[in-house]
Amino acid sequence: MATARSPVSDMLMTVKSQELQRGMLAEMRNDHTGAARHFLAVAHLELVLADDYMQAGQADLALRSHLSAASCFWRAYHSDQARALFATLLQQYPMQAPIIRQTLAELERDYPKTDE
Amino acid sequence: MEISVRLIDLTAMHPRLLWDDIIAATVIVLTNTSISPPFPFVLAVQELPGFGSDLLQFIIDPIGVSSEYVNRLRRTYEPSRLVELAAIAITGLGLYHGGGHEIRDIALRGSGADYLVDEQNHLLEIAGRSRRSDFGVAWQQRWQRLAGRIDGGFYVCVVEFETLSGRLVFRM
Repeated sequence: MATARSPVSDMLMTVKSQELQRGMLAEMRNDHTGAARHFLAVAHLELVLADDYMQAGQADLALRSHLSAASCFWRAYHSDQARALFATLLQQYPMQAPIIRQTLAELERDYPKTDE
Repeated sequence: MEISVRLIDLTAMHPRLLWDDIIAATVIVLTNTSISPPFPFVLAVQELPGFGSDLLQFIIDPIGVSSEYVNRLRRTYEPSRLVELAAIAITGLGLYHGGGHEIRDIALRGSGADYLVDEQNHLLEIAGRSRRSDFGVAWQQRWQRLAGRIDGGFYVCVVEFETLSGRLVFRM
């Protein structure tokens, strides 16, 4: 009997979570170079997950992954890429503009130095 | 309820997270209390789904944690960071033994929380303090922050490592 396959990879989600955790632990150790490397990996994984969620019809989770991707680009010192993604999200999810703007504002406050 | 636990079992209780640094940090923080292992820790849990409320009296065994790794970590993280990490371990023990709940992911930045619990993605906020006197303020800050922002269920866990106690509450 065929088994139902989830459109979103459980392994991908776990790898993403652990990479994000590695980035946060590196930040806690003040290892900014290491943290940036992990956050950049997470950003790309979140973009893949966001696409998978969209195809599965889970728009709320797709937005969450997109926001996480933008946040991780920012924390990986790719602020231009992050800002571009935030701008796209504001167009795609106008009803969610407050949470999108709030996420950007918190990044600008907490991570003011984001030059690549 | 008295429960004997091994820190290394956190890897099986919450398999989606990385536990090496968290477990080693917990050993450092508990060892700094001058109490000999196994370490007692009392966690008051309230209204956890599928469990309810109780006083979980953990007897925490640090067996299986490499002393070399612990010593390296002691030099890597600042003391306040070690306490933050140790609080995650205590929370993980409380969630597992308070209804079999699993920390599954890191919460989205800006959500006001640290982690997501179970498939329902309930938000979880964790705080750790080294002094008992800082517990009340930490609790009020975390609780009010989430209560003011969240429509769905959320967990707050605050622990302190002076008297080795804490509180884990779920609110729907």
